[in-house]
Amino acid sequence: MNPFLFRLFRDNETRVHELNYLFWECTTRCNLHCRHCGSDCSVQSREPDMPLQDFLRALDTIPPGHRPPGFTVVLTGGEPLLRPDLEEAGREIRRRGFGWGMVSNGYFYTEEKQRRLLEAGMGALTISLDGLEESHNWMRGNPNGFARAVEAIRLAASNPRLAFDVVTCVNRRNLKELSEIHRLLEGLGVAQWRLFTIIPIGRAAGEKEMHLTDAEFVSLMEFIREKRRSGGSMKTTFSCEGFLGRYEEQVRDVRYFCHAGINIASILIDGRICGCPNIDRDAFSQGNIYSDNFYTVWERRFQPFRDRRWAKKGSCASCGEWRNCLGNGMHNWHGTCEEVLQCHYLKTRPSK
Amino acid sequence: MKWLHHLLRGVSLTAALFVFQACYGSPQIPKPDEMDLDAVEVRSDAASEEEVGAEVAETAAETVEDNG
Repeated sequence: MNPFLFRLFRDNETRVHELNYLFWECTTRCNLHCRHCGSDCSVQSREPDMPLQDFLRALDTIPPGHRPPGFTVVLTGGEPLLRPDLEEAGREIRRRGFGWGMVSNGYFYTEEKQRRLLEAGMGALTISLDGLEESHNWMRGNPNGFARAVEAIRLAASNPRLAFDVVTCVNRRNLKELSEIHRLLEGLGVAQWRLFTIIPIGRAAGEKEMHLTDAEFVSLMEFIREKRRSGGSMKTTFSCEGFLGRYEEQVRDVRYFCHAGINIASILIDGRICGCPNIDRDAFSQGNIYSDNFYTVWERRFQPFRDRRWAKKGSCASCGEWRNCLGNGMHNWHGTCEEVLQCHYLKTRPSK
Repeated sequence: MKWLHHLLRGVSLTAALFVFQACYGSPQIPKPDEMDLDAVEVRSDAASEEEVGAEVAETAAETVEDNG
């Protein structure tokens, strides 16, 4: 799509800011202990799971006329499958007319669990696979993580009712395994594979093996581009984590557009209201469901998400791609927000 | 301009523009009301809820807590 027309579309979407994608950080408990976790989740979380009724009260503030078709509630964590009331939560969300999905490590995703979740109206699922067996288990800190994730993927991919994809966090260790992972997933019947890289926050901040060099990042772009050109039964895409310069529309279906705070909100474990859960919650939370009306917050606040001129500073201040990028994804701004954490455009510039 | 938003949404060629996916989220469900709630197969040898619950503690023991 022509960049000028796309900017018109993006700016109009920003003005309209229709909420249609809501994360619920329903637990920060997790059975695994992943090296790249942006939430620092653990088996024994300091935060108790948010009571379902508290979340539903917030969901009910969305007026009936503001629930567009395709509105999706995404349960995330932590590991959502650890919640004992997951099916009840799903049914209540569906009863209110919203679709719902989940992001899971797949460890507890059995056939019986899938049946129950489908009965509760689950329509979308993402399972993480972070490498071949050794790499995945190293990343996830569990010797059975890979086998369980593969079994979950096989199960989910065989169900035509689910909007299902596999997500892989690409790092220096699994970069060379991508072709083999591609073959594995195609063989399992997966229709969509989404790749992303890690931002230096949470537990991943101190892990050097997590972060690709610029040359490695370019090789990742080339890998995705080649897979998309060669076709096949599985679509490979790069996540919407940042503006990619010359790789725009080569590795994704549409141009870069950070929808956080424009179409996406999240209700975090402690009730805070923010954009995506990986955005700096101390810097960018807009309210709290325990003290504010959720939908009023959505309508009246979120200015830093909808007018990103504040991000035109540091290396973004004089960048020629500013109007296409607007300071990269919101999750790339942390702490005092003096400088963008990473610039995908600079990583992919031919001159580098 | 809401009219433009609705106009674009109504044009099927632009659907890809609207069916986005957050970096760490699941896919969107374009038409949840069309989901076929009966298309679910059940296998008799599936694990029970109790078995899964017991496994949570087991996995936690296997998981390397100092993975970071």
